[in-house]
Amino acid sequence: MLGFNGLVTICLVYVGILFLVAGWADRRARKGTASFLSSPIIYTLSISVYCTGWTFYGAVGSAARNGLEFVTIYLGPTLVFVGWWWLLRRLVRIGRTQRITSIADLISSRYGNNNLLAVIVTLLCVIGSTPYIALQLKSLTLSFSIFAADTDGLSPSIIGFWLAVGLALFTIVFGTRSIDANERHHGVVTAIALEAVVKMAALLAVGVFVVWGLSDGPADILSKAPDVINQSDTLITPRWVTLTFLAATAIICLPRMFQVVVVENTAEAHLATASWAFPLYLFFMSLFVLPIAIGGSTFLPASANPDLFVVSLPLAFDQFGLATLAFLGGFSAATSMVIVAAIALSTMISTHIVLPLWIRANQDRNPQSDDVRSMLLVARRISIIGILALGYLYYTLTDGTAALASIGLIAFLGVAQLLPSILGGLFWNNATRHGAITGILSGFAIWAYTLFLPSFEGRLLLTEAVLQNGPFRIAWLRPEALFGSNIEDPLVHATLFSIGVNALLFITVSLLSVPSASERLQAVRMVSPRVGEPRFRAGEATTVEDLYILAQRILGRQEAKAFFEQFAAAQGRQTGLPSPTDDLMRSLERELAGTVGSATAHAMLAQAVGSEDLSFEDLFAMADETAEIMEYSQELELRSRELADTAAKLRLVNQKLTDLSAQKDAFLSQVSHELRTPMTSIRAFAEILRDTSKMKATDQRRFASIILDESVRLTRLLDEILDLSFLESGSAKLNISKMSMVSVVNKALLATEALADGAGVTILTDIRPKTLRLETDVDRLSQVLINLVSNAVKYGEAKTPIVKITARLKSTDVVVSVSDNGPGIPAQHQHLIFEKFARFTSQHEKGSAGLGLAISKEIMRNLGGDLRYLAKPVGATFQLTVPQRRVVEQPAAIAAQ
Amino acid sequence: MTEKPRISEGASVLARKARKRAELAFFIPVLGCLIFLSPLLDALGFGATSLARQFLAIFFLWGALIALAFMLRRILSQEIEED
Repeated sequence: MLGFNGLVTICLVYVGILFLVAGWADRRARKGTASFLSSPIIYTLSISVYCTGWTFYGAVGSAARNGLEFVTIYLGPTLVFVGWWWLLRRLVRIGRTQRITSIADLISSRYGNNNLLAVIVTLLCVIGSTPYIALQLKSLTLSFSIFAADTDGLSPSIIGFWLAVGLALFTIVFGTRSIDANERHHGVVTAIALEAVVKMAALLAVGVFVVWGLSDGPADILSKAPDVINQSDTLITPRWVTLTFLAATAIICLPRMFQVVVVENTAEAHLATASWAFPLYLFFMSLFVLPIAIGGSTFLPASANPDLFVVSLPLAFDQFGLATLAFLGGFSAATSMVIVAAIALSTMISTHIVLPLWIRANQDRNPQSDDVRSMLLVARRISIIGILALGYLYYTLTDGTAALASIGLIAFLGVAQLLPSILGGLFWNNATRHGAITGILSGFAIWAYTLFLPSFEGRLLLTEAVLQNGPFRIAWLRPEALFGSNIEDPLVHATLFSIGVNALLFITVSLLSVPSASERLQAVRMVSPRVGEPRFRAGEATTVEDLYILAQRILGRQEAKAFFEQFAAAQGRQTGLPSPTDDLMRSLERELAGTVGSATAHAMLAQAVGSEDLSFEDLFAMADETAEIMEYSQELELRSRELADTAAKLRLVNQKLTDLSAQKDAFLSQVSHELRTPMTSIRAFAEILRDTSKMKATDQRRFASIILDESVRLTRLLDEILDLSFLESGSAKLNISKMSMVSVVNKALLATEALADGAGVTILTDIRPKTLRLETDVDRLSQVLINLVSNAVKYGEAKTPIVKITARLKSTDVVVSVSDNGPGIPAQHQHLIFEKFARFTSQHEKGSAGLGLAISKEIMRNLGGDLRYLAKPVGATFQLTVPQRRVVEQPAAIAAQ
Repeated sequence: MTEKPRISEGASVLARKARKRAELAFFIPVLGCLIFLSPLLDALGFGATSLARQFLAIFFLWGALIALAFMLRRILSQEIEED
């Protein structure tokens, strides 16, 4: 038998060979001269990192204890790989298009690049993988112990410690050569592929030895099964289904499996090959498991550990060479797992935990790229040491008593808590970050409470009393019988509750929460991933004429003609349309995109060629473009309306200006005319008086009287014009005082009494209430009333002329009406009533200048009221409205105080 | 007369066939689940039979599933993107 030192030497030589292979592969990869490194076979063999020390040693132990149950650990991955088209292909596509570096990266990226989620997933993966690392240490320690004869002086924990140290060094040297997390580890993958061959060859060799060396073939060895292997009456049990489910989940959720299946994948075709080649590898890895278990149970003492049958059987029959190969197989299985798991986990820790902290700590300075590089390398190396240390701690805390299979299953269920968030993220648009965090944390907590902590058998956090009676003796909270459930198998129990609650909360919280914009965007990218830019290929269902028509509609006739003529000329065609080559399709899509946007252009061509290559992302992009176009269109429409409104206002202002200009001209003309008439008269009579020496005294007096009258008229006219000018400019001074309405009316009546008496006009007044008082410029208001009453007296030509004055209080206004029973104002003249110099025939005859009503209107405006003419069937009625209390506007400065 | 270059006919038929091939890929894992996760094997009496028979039955069915996956890979060769 080999000594301990001899075994260590063999291991070191083997590791040296692996180093050489890895280094050689790395060099070839850097030179680009090793296409086989990217072959599907190497890829498939690297996936065999799934087969760890557990499957190498533990599967035989499981078969010896539970019969065919071990098959489930291989059937689960088989079902996932034969269904690769629907799940793994999507994962690989997303991994490549999104440059995903780890499973934490995938989940955080899907849920809006949320680093908190990445940290949670990373910690969960580290904790979940710890039992698995411990499992490798245990399997290696056991194999060392049984193989090396002189390890009596070394306890298993010491061996485990040095193995952990050796594996940490091994992984650091192997796995931290490059810091690019997305870069393929050609050297590592090639070394793992070599290890895959070694472990399968070892297991097959031991199997052949047992079946044909120790027995007379398969029938003979299987015939011994009933005597040594337990068998139940039912094959497909809840535990069987649970184990298959967990094994299938492990292929997706274990960090190391994600690393080799997704991150290290270089081509989709490799995955297609692995879809049958990897299950075939598993098939051969498990083919001799049951025979070896039967052989070990038959030929070895009952005290022999079934987990070590693979090594102990050859040793028992002095097959040292075969035993050494078996040992190397187990060594390969364990080391490959540790290397890849440590690479994956250290990448996650350094990227999602250390790097953000480092950036935060160094945000005040501008770090150099070398700083980041060296920091990441150090972080990864320390992470690897930490991961191995945790594994060793778990190994020592559990005292190495648990069977290999049970430790592996604990790890499987731990990382399986990521499954709902991953599947939901890949297939459900409405899955949210809050749902994922809630689901993962709840599932993880239940896993820890119902399976992980109980695995320490009372040595960590949960005491034996808690395990037996529940916390605070609450029976329905017993870790292995939650809510009083009667599920005997702790694994089935933990799986049911942890995954069930996880999925339930994930769905519920997702439905109750709203995804952020980045989550929605990532959902579109991951739920409908697209690789590269397949676009369109010529040779599909359309004619170039259809494309030409499409181009005409989008680009315009001339542009489409020029575009197609250019292509036809490039293809050597003098007439006709060009051939629909791929180049034409690409160029046409670009041309169309310039007009309708890239997504719409893509969609149009997809429809035209009937490729049905419209993804959800295309539709979203189309919707975005359409929304932009609609927004732009609405903005244009708004601007157009604003412009139209502004133009209308400008037209109105222009019209007013024109009208004002015309009014000014008319006013000047009328003023000139009004002034000229008396001036002409004054001048003529003044010349007569000057030039006629012998004139009668009576004539002289008459002419002088005419001159005087005309002068008075001229003065009055000028006063009125001046007054109107003041009123229009708003600079007329108002003298506010209080007076009763009756007094105001009486004042007006007194002024017009003589005129009314002369014309025989009866004036009636009706003021209610009699006590009505108002506060305004009483003189100005009286002026308006006088003007209105005198107009009514002068023009109210009736048989029995009556003028009626009424006054009423309406709210805060006093409304006064002055009406007569005369002929009124003809309808065609009513719009001119308040115009300056607006005179109707009879007015002119009666010497009016036509400014009275214009002045009255302006006075009322200055008093804060209004003057209107009310068209009625009989007579003329003017209505003035004046505030009962005139509020004088304060200067701006005073108002501000 | 203008030449009428025509892009090859039957693209939609080819696309439909491709879709059917892809849907076939869904059939294999469903079949696998039906065999290995449902009570089908027990209903067929494999639960009560000897361990050797169980072993042979499971490995035979497993091998058949792998063979189907191998055939599917060949059938889907056109759809698989060569990078």
